[in-house]
Amino acid sequence: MRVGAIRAPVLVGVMLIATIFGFIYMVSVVKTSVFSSDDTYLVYAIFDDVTGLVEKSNVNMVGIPVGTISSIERVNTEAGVQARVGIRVDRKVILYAGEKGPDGRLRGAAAVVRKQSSILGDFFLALAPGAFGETLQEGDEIPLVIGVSGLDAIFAQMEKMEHVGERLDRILVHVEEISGGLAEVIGSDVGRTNLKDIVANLKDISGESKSIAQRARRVSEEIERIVQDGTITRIAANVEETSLDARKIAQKLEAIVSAGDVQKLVDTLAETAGQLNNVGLQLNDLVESGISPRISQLERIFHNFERFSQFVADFSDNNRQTLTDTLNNFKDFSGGLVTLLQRSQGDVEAAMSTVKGTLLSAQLSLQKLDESLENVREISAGLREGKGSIGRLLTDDRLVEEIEEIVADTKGFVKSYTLMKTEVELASSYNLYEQSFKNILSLRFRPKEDKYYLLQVVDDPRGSVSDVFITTTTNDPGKPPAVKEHVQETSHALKFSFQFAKKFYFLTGRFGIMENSGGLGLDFDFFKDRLQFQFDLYDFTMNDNPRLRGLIQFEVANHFFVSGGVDDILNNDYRDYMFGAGLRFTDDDLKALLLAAPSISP
Amino acid sequence: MLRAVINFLDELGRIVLMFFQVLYWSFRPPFRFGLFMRSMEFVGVGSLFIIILTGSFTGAVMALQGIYAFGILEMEAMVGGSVALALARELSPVLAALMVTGRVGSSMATEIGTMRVTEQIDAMETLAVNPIQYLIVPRVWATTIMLPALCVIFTFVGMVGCYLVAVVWFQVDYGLFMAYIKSFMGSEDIINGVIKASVFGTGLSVIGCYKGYTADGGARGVGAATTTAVVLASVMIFVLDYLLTAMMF
Repeated sequence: MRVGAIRAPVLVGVMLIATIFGFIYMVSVVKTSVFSSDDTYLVYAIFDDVTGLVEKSNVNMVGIPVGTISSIERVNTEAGVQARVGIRVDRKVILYAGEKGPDGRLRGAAAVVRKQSSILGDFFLALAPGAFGETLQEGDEIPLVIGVSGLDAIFAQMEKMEHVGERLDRILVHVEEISGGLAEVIGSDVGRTNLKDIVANLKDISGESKSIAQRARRVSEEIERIVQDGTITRIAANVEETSLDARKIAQKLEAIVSAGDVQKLVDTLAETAGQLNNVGLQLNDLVESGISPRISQLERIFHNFERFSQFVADFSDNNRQTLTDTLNNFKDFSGGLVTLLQRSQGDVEAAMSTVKGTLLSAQLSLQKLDESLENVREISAGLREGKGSIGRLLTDDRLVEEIEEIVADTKGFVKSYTLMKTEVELASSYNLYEQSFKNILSLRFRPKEDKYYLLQVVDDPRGSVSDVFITTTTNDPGKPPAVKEHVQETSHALKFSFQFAKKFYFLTGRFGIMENSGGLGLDFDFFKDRLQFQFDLYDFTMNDNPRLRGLIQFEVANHFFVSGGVDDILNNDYRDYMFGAGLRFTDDDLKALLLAAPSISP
Repeated sequence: MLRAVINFLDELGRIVLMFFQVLYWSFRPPFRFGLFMRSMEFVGVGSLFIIILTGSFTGAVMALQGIYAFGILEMEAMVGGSVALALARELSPVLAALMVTGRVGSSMATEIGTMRVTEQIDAMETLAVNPIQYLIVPRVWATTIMLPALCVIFTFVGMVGCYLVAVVWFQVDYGLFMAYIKSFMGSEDIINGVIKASVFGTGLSVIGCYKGYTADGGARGVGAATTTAVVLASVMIFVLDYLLTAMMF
């Protein structure tokens, strides 16, 4: 093939593959939500104000996204017009409705808080799961809603303190007036005169104070006398009695306070127990992911495979009998041939002796030949008139056309089997992270150049994963009424693929069963199918994303190819890199097996 | 004035009719796979260099300006998200379409126009080869398919340019850079950008082919047809961009 002829398709193919990879990478990087509707349940929260909240934004729990805002709508409630926010929460997260305590207050209930994410006015929702009570289900309402927090709350408090500012203003005005008055009183000449008068007055007052002190001394002497005569002692006794009563009251108060601490401690323990219960349930559900339907698929596949193996066993039995018969016939034939050769020598000698007799009878034979020719003439005349089966065959056009159609159909049938190619491929690749080999045996039945059926038996190091769901119910009030347990069993079992493929120029599309799961495939073939870019998308339910495998195969020599690629590209935790080699050839024996297969059917 | 309006509507109607003719002849044999591949190579592979060049520098200069602007608030990390959103939604489809218009749309108009004025198209019709099916269908489909691919590449290399300026040069925190990209941009932004590019590709190729197909007046007429095709396609891109943006976002 000329290089110029394949240049354009190769370049376009490479560019499109690079574009597809770039597109998938960018979409996987910016995928805003990892929560699909199947993995979540919807709960609602009623807010007075939803400013700053937007749909599809994350809902966090301890800073980790556990859901998204699915809707924001206006509703009329008893409290007036409010906003109802729909929140899709990961099923692994359990929210509790809480329980009302003796004081009528709700305890242990899930709460949602509208928090400010930046000073620019963006908000998000934060969830607290609660600790006990019934779990919230699809469509339930989150009991506790806190609509204002952070800077918003501070601003709201400041708005309430507006009247304090007004009072401060008034006080400041009064202070200003007072200070102005003082300045007026002290700063002027009149003020200074007044101050002199004040000092003079103070002098007089000090004189009077001296006399007051003398009087006070006399009073203290009088008090001392009272102390000495026992009056103060009596007052002290009364004070002591009073203090004893106060101590008793204090002890009673202390007992009440202590009782309050115990209750608080009990509440704390109850909340802790509820949270531990919540953690236990979340751990149980962490194990969950579902492919339960695959159990039935596996059963069907194994059933089909059993039927197929039974069919092959029946065929081999029948074929063995046929081969045995054929060999016996051949043995009889060869024996007859030997006998004939042994007899021929004696016959020649006998023939020589009877030549004379033969010549004598030749004349009689010629007479009989004349009679035979006459009979032939009569038969040919009958055939011309369409008498007998052969005569009808020769003269009836409709019969001839039917025979021609049958021959044509038979020709097409035989041609389809003659053109069918059966390709056998044995590939083995080494997975770097799994550190083990993956082996694939492929049978490709190709009735036409542009389509084929692919049957594969796969030995995958990941094994075959099956899901088991166990629900345990109990009447024990100390335990949850129902515990759902999800167990994933991984067993080392073979996987099977059966796909139909159709080729359009250098592009081949495939679909069908792919390693025990539904799947799609896309192949890009270049250089007479020696270079192949292969993409498989399957196993849609096992992990967060479907399993996407990209593989490059290059046939370096006849029947021998090398390969390399990436497995599970979309799931970061399971992504693996692989390289390997394989053999590919056309197996005529399998083709013969297919040709013989219909003939052994009863 | 009225005459100009009537002429404009007449021209618009003829372009739309040619689009329907392209659709009609797309699904009738013979299917010329080789021509289609060559057109895809010309439109897509041939435009790669100019797209990578403009894309990387667009992302880089957007990052540079964004860092200066966000730096006032000390929020330089937001430049990743804002540039990614701008690229995916608007810049990639529009700038890639304008680049392809300049390179491919003009080429289509010139090539087909030259064939028209040298009566090669008439000769083709004489030989019972439909010129729309032979000349225009492969070009329109090639541009419709390859322009979205170029748009994706434009976005990708634009983000690489943004990364180099923001993270490598200005030492913006890589984690915050990526976090804001994820926070600001959704997969629907990329998909809508790709859809936009596909519509632009169809529009610019139909206009380029139409102007060439209807060219007359010799070499001067071909030149005029080329100029008109580029101007008309560029205007069409901005008008369609507004309409699609209003519908999508």
